[in-house]
Amino acid sequence: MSQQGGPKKRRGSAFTELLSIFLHLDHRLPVLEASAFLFFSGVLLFSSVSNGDASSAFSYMAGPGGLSLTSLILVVLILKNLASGWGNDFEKGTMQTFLTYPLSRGKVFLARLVSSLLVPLGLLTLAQFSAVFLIAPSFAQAHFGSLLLGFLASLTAPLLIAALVVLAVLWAKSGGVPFAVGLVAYFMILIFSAFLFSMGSSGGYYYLVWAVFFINPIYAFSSYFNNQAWFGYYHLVPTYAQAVGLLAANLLLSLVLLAVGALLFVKRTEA
Amino acid sequence: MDRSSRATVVFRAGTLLIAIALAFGLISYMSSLTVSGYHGDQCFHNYGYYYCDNVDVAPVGTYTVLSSWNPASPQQMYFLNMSSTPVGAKVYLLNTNQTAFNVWIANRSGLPLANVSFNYGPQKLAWFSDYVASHRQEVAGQYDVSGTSVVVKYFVPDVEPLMAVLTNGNTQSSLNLTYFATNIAVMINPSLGFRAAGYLAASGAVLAVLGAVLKRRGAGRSGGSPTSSSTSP
Repeated sequence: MSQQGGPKKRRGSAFTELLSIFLHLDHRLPVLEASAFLFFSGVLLFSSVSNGDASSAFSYMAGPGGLSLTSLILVVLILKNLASGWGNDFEKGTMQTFLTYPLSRGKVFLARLVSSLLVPLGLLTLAQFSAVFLIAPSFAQAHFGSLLLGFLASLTAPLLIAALVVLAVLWAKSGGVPFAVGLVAYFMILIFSAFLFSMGSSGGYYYLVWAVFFINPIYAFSSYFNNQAWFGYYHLVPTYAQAVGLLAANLLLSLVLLAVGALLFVKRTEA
Repeated sequence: MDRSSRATVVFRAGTLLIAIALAFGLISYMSSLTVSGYHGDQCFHNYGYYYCDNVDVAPVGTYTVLSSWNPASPQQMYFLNMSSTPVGAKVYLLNTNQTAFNVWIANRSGLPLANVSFNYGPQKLAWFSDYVASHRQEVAGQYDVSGTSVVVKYFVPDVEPLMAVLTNGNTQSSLNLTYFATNIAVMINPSLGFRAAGYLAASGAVLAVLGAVLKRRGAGRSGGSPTSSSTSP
């Protein structure tokens, strides 16, 4: 590596070099391509636009309860990268090699996160938005806000799981168990939010319903758009601002958990 | 980033574009398939899926499935079913023994804005789709069920939902039209999709080849001239 650029340039080069190594490890030749293929085909095949309003724009992105093919592929891809990739780094000791780069531990964490999490997210974002702009450009422009909210709402469960898996990997220093737990937790979020929502909304249990809204904001938006008040419990239906607030709070929770993971990674003394 | 990493990034960008092009190509191909055949009781087969729902009128006898795809339209034409919660869907009209029927596009008062009479046949149905597609701006958001026997709602994604009334003129009771709606909603315009796939595949191939050449050249340079690497302190 060139020594002429000074320490700042060296650090930048070291970051990109480490990032390219992580990218290579996380996304070996067919993996990223297969994911891209599945994202784009899944979005084009299984998404649907119903009646052209903001509600259908939200549903187009979020899907029923967030359980869509693209969401599942994203979760599996992220879990593979985070749990297996990071787990292997700890188990095989390659993390020690990565820590010898002239970078802070925070930067190493960031490079790993960009490769494992942000690259799949970027790919999915590209697939979702390019597809809807290709299919219905005017519709996409008219309801871009709702599309964006739907997209962010569909990311809440995968991001929460990703943050929890990062913590689990750092705690367990292995990937096998966090992978399995992450996958189970993802389905638990989807299944239990459906179950608890139906229980809470039919019984008028305010806190239960709002707990579901917080864990899975798709339900908050669905209730808002459909004015869904089962058995006349209209006080359970959130306002638009409340639904957006719940979404923001959920995303913030994931970010806080990731920040805790970064702190744990930075503060720990051994690799 | 060193030369080898850069070559790898270029190569992977190329393969990624090719993968996306394959997805577009596949969906475009599926969108362009001519739907044919009728299977089972109130079910039909399309794009590898069986659809048994959203049947409005029980079909009798042998049917010819007409594709509603309009290749001349720049936008996908959506035909919605008549259920209370319509999904974006393609509807395939099936006709048993009618040789002619009229098509009205009606306003909220039920007054026909367009009255198109044509013989039964796929090309005529395509023409009907073409008419709606070409007039969708002027008829957007003006339509509702007019109370006649068969109503098909149209949804063009970039305008308001449209509705059209199908009847065979004054003898509505003898009209034997039925339709199916699939839940496979978002298909793309095949010509547009194939074009996008072509561009993506071409640029992906260029990038992949470029990346491979750069990588090989980089490997040849580092392996082929041992003196060049021995000059560093």
